Amino acid sequence: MNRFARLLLAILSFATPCLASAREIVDMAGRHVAIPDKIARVYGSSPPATLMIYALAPEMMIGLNTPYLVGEKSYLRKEAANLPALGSQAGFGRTLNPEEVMSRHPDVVIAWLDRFVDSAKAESSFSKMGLPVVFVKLDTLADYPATFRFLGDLFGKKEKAEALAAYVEDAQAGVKRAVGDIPAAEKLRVYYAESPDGLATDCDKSFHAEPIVLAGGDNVYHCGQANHMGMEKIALEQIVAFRPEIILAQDRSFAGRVMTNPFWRNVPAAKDGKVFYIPHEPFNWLDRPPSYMRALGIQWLANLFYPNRFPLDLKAETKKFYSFFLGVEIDDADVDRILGKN
Amino acid sequence: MSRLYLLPPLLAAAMLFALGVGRYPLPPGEILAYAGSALGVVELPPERADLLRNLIVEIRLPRVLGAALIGAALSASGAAFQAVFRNPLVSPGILGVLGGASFGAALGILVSGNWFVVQFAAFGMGVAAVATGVLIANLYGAPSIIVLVLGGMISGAFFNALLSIVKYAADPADRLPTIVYWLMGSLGGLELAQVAYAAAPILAGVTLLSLFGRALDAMTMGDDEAASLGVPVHALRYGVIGLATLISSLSVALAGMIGWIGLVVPHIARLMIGPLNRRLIPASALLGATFLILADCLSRNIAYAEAPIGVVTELLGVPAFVLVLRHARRGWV
Repeated sequence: MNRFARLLLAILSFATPCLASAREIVDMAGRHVAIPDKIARVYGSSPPATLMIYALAPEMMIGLNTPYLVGEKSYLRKEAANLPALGSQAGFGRTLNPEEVMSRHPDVVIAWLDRFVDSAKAESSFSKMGLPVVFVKLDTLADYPATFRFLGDLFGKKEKAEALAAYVEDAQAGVKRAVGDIPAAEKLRVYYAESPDGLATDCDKSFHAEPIVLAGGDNVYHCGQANHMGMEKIALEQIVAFRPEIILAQDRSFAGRVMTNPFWRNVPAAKDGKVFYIPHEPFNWLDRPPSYMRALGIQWLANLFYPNRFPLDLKAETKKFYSFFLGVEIDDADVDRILGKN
Repeated sequence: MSRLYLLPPLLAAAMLFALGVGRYPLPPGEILAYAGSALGVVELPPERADLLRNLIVEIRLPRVLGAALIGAALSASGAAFQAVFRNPLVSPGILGVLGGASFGAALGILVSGNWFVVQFAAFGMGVAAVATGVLIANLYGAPSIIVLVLGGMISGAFFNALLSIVKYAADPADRLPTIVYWLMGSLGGLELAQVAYAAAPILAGVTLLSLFGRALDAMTMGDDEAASLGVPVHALRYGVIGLATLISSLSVALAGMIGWIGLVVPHIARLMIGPLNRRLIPASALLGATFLILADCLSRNIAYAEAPIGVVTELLGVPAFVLVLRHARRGWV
């Protein structure tokens, strides 16, 4: 053995412990990422990513993106409710403080591979902190099963991940079986009302409004998504022209007022009292942020739109879902409260 | 003088036009029919009449009247501010009213979704910001115009910082986008009742400012000359600042931030009828009302989604300003 080979061997023998504690994976963006062998602490760089960690491995969370409201906290696992808000890397809201994240020593960062966000920038900002970034796909509900399985593999939680993935698949398949064959002309016309005045909405092809389409509704606002934030302003006159039969409202006070608001009297949904508040607690069932809550959300919507095609014991399903995904046990009164019925 | 009389018919024509166009397709015949039924000449099926009433009177009319009031308020106060500060680059936001109103509205959106609270907070904070600016300017004795401007800058910066804190604290999924869109300006949420509440103070303010035009003309020669002509210089200056602040913060409370109109419209008006304030201020008000009605037509008709009115006025205002700049210089230099 020559001198060079011996030197190489010596270096390798020193480096082996390091190498053994690291492995290389391919993330959902197709990038090769070196990550520690054992992952114990994880930072989700935006709410949809953080929610995945919450369902799968809450004990690994090092923080939230935005603080939760008091009302939301009662539906959260205790260990997660009191985590600090560290901010988000992408999207709106609190920007992240790199030192704050670094001081909590996450082993890996989970980031949403979102077509509106520059993933190279996200990667470089975390590599400056010395943190490996793993991108996951979360654009549509159909992405979630694969993402659960991928993260289950990463976190060493295959069994739990498989169960969650299977729930999302079953929910989507069940809804699709029930409402997938409704002809376009017979679909229920749905207006998605956002902001306190109800005069903001999202395109039918936007990821923000995906659950409406999945549940067999026709989102009356036909267009393609232009930016990450969405919430485009729309004139009441345009809504009158769209003739929606159902309004889904993000804002609770708007949902309460619109049926008696005389200006909306020529909107069929408002006239017929078909305005529904979208449950928010602790996470939104449909959107803002988009998450696996949609697996429950589309069942709720399909049942709301077509009760004969998709019969559902909403209370039982909600309790099951909250226990399974969110780790909290709730009772009938809680379900009523979440649905905004009292 | 004669050109001033062209403006009211122009405004009336813009209003009629704006009532006739919208995203809900209504042929002109329908509108005439509705007008006829309102006068009791034509008989319409009750359902159709109700729909037309809803669309024309309840949905379009508040926007048109609101746009007219806001355009008039911003343009008249812009002209008045330009006269008080003797500077053609001054806009209604010079003393920090926009920063204050924005902070107030954002705070209102954060703590409550109720539009009355939002509007009240916007108005109150807009006035408070200007009062703070004037107070700062007065800290060390009677202020010069330049110190007033500095006071306004300081106050505006302070309220902008407060606005940032509110944005930081807002829920990024829901409240924050609402704040962001509010700051771009929109006439979409206006209701007839709100317009009615704001109408009296705005119209009174615009009228009073117009009446002060003659005294402001005297002041353009300098404070001492004006004083020798019997003009109470300080009282007039603060009176005009107070009135202009009142009506511009009312307009911000109604529809958010609508930029550029208060800067550009007085220049166009000056080009049409000359630099004398006693004519310029009413002309600016009429022209501003017309301009904003038409800009709002554009904003609500180009696409499904409404373009924020503040963005439209900026896009229209910038080239207009470039065009009038050459002529405007003549009036001021």
